[in-house]
Amino acid sequence: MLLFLSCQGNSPEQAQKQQSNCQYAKHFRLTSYDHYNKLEIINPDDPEEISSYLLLPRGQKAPKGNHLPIIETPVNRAIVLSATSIGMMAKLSESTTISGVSSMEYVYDPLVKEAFKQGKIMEVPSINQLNPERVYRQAEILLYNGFGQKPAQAQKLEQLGVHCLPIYDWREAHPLGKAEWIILFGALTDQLEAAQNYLQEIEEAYKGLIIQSKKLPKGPRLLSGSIYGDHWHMPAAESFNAELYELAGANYKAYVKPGSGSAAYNLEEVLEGWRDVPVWINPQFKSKQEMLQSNSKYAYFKAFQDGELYCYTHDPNRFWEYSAIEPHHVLSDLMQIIHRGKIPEKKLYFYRKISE
Amino acid sequence: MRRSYLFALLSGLLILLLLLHLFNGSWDWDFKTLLKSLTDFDISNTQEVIFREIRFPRTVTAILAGAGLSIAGLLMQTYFNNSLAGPSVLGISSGSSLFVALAVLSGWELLNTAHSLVFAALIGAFLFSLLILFFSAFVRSAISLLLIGMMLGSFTSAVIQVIQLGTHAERLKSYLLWGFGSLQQNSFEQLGLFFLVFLLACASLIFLIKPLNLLVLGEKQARILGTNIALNRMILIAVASVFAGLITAYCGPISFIGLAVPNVVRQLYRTKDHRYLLLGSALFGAITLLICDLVIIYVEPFLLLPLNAITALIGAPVVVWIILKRF
Repeated sequence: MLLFLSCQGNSPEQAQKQQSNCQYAKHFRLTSYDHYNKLEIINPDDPEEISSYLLLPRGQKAPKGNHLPIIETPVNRAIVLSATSIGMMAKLSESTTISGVSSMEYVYDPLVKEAFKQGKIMEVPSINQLNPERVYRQAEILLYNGFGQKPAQAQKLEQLGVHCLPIYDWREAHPLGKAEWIILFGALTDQLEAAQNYLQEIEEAYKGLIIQSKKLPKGPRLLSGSIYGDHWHMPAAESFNAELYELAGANYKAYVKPGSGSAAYNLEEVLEGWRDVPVWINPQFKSKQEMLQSNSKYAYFKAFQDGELYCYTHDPNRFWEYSAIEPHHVLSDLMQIIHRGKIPEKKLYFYRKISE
Repeated sequence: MRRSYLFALLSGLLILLLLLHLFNGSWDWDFKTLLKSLTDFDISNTQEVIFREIRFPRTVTAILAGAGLSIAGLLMQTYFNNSLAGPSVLGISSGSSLFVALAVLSGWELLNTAHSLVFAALIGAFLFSLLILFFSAFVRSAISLLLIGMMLGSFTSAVIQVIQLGTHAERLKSYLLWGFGSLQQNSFEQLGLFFLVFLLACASLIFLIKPLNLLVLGEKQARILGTNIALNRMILIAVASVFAGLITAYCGPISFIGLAVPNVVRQLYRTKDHRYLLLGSALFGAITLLICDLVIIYVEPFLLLPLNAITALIGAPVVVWIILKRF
């Protein structure tokens, strides 16, 4: 995973060896120097906007001429506002570093839940209603998922020494690019080596599955998503999920609209195009009964009638915390669902057949 | 003579739009499949499923909702003697919104289903109607009752805002989607109850035509001419509440139709006789909502438009026109 980049020799700082730690992720860069790291987070909507930080081990002196904000590592208390960040911290055995989450209702990690019971964790339901003083008392950094905006109080927090870092793992197009954000968490918690080793493991597992998938005959067509409001939202042809479905062997992309997000269809289009499709993935319900209560027209689909419905909704918090950092398990589940009976059966990791 | 022509014109237009809407905005009409889907339904035929479960309920819902809201609007405007009154002024829609907000935002999965939302909206409309009827027994002036209705609306908005504060984004989105209004949520089976209650409410209008024609002269004149104001007021509010509550329950809150349509119909018919005004409002309301939904169907490949955006785009200029003309 380590990519040796260059040696430069214009100044003492530049003369030190540099290593970029990212291979798949497009929205952050971590460059390792002898005794510190430089972290750059790139706004996916405006690549010119780069938030840069110097990650400096506690007790070390900052390099001469440094003008970047300094984050002392290891970070001991961090407010993390996205589920994937909790999963990444947990993978590095750093759950106890978490001192704030957006809502406990959506947390899976048992250690975080326990810490909340002990009053060590605060809830931050809205990024725009932060109490800077409370956050300052609770954390050294705040990691938010950056849906296009900074916390309203970001400037005050920076003045208090609490750095607000946007996390754009959800904008990565490659499954390993999402997982690679664990490098950032490794650097913040002085667990960079552990993060790199973990990444190497999952990269091997993920690539092994792709080789296996390519040897299999093309699988069946898939129906994905469900009705939200008046429209059915399905992953578009160039979306992250569509890519995963195809990698797992499904015949998906050729039948959906182009685009990188989700595509909207009216129910009539979905009935005409997907009624007889044998497998339905991610309908976002826990049971068939719940689906019918939401919309009785789901009953007209073959996949519904045959019970071939798969989702992670039996334990959604676990999926959202770990799916980004365990893409090999997501891919393996999809292969099991798509090639049912054609590959050796294995217990599904994230997904389950939706109950009656 | 003019009224007969108008009736024939509006009826013809309604039938044309009904067919166009039923065939999803296309002129390629397939009556055989449509009739078979309603009389001899073959579940394995996707075209029949589409007609029976998607197009037919959507068209019928558009007609009933458009007609019902316009009738409710006309009743309110006549009772309050104010062209800017509408089905929402008594707080009936607010009652539905409050109970739907409680169901969706509470996070109880059991309450967040299509059937329970209809049920919650009906309960809300019913309770708020009772409340209005209770106040109407003590308040003599229509304007005072109008103010109470507006206060109920403000009160429920405040309660909903407080609930929204502590709600997760997904649930908030579900509630916002409900607030956009929709003609697509009903199934063929649901239409039965919707249609039955609508018919009963329409039937009760027969008893209201005479008092409505007298109320146009003002409450005092109507009383002198022998109208039992208190009794008729209660019946009028109850009927308007049933229309508003029923449609909010099945379609979400739909704005502007109830406000704009009766005013246009008054201009078209140039009469104060409620036999014509009620029939005209029902026809023109159904036509207006069918047109609004056809716009949604036509622009759907390029842009997803919520129903309330279209009704407001069409309704707001009409309301401005009324204000400029009357005040």
